[in-house]
Amino acid sequence: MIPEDLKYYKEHEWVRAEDNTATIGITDYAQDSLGDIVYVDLPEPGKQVSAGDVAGEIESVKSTAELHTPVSGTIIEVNKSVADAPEVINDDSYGKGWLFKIRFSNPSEADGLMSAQEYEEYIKGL
Amino acid sequence: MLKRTPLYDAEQAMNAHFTEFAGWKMPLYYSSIIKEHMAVRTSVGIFDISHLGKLFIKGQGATALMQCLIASDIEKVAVGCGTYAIYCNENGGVLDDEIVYRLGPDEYLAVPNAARTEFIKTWAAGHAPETVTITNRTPELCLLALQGPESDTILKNVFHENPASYKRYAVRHVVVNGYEYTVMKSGYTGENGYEIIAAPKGARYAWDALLGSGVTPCGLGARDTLRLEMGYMLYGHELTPAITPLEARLERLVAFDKGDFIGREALLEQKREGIDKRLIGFVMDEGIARDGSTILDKVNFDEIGWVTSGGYSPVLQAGIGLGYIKSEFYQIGLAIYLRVRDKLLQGHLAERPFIYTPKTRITQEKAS
Repeated sequence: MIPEDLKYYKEHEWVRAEDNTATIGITDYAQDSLGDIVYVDLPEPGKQVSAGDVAGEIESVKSTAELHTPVSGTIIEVNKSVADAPEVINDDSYGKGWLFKIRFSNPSEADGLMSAQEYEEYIKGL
Repeated sequence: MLKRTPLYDAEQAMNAHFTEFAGWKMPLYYSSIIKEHMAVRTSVGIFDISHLGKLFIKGQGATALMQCLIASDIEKVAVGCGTYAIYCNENGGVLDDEIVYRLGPDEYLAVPNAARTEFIKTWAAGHAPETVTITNRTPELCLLALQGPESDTILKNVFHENPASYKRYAVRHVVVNGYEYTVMKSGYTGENGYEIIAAPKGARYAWDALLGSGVTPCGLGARDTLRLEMGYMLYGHELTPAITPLEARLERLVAFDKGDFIGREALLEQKREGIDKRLIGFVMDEGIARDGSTILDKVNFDEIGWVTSGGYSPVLQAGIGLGYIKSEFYQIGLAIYLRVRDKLLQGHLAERPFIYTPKTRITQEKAS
C-alpha cells in the first residue's frame, strides 16, 4: 500500500529522490483524509523553497490543506494536469497525481525523512 | 462520549467516514461527497439525520404557545401539514430555524437543529402553561431523509404510499410490515423528497429496504454541499441570535399581522429604522472561500462583509458561499474580492439558489 521506494514527510507528503531531483506528492492517507479534491494551488517554477515551507494549497470539498515541501531547493516543474483534473490526486496520489519537482540544494536532506515502514507506524499513531 | 444514532452499527459496517457534529458521531460520507451529492441531484439518496431534534408539544394552549414562540402564523397551517418557521428572542435575533408540523389542533412536532434541541425545549417550557406538555423524543426515534428526483418511486415501492397525495410539508402516519412511520414531504437538498421518523427497529428495516432498492447512502458532507448549492441557511452560520430574519431575508416567515409574538416589537422597529446588512450569495471565479473569510469591495478594497458558509458546488464546479454584506452593496453581479487566508480571490455576488431549481433543470435535461 505505502510504496517502499519513497520517503515520507510528517505532513503527509512523499518524495521520490532521483539524482539531484525530488518529485513530491501527497500520500494515499492524505488524499483519503481530504476526500474529493477540487482545487490545487501549486508553487511557481523558479521559486526557492526550504524544507517545511508551505508550497501551496489543496482544497477538497470539505476542507483546505496546506501543501508542504519536505526538502529544500528550486521548484523546476509543476504537474499542470492536476490543476485541470484535481481528482487525479484521489485516484493515483503516488503516480499521475504527483504535484511538483525540486532541484535539491542538499540531496542528503531526503535521508532524514521517514521510510515507508516508519510512515506506516506514524499514521497508525495518529 | 459522542452520541450515536441507532443506525451507527449499520453505517460503520458500510465503512462510513464519521465526523463529530453537535455532540453526535455522524456519517460524513460513505464513498465520496461529490458522488453522494450527484446521486441526490440525479436519482435518490438516503441520509441518517437522527441527530435532529424531535419535540412533541401537546395540550390545551399549545397553539397559543406556538403563536407566541414562532414568527409565522401557525393557525394558518392545517392539521396534517407543517411549515418552515423561526423562533426569535426579544431582540428579534434568531434562536432556531426548523420545520414545525401540526399533528392535531393543539398538537405539534417540532424538528429543531441538533445543537438547539435542548435550548428550544427549555425556551418553550419557559413560556408554556401547565396544560401543555413538551416531550423530547430525540434519543428514542430515528429520522431519515429520502431525497432526489426518484424519491417518489421509492416512496411508492417501499412505503406503499401514493406520492401524488403528499403536498409540500404534508405529514402522515404510515405502517409498513408492522413498523410505524411518520412520513413528511420535506427536505434540505432542493430536490423532491421525504423525511421519515421511526423507532430504531423500523428505521433499520427501512434503511435496509431503501439500500436494497438502490438508494445511495449519503452523509452530512453531501447534505451541506446540497443545502449550500440551494442557498439554504444553516443555524450557527447564517442564522444566530445576533442576526434577525429581516437581515437573513426571511421576512416571509414573519407574520407581523398575526398579533404578538416574541421579537415582534424589535423586528417592527428594525423595519422602521432600516436594515444595515443582508444575506447574500456569491460565486468564486477561482478557489474556495470558507467561513470567516472577509468580503471586500473591489473598487476601494473596503471590508463590506463576511462569509458565513463557503464551499464547493459539484454542479457548478466552482466555489460558492453565503455571507452578510452592508445593505448599500447588495447588488447581484457586483464584483468582489474575498480575503482567503493571505490571498485575495475574485468573485461576484449571486442570487440564490445557485443552481437551477430541480423542475427547471429536469425540463432542460429532457429537452437536451
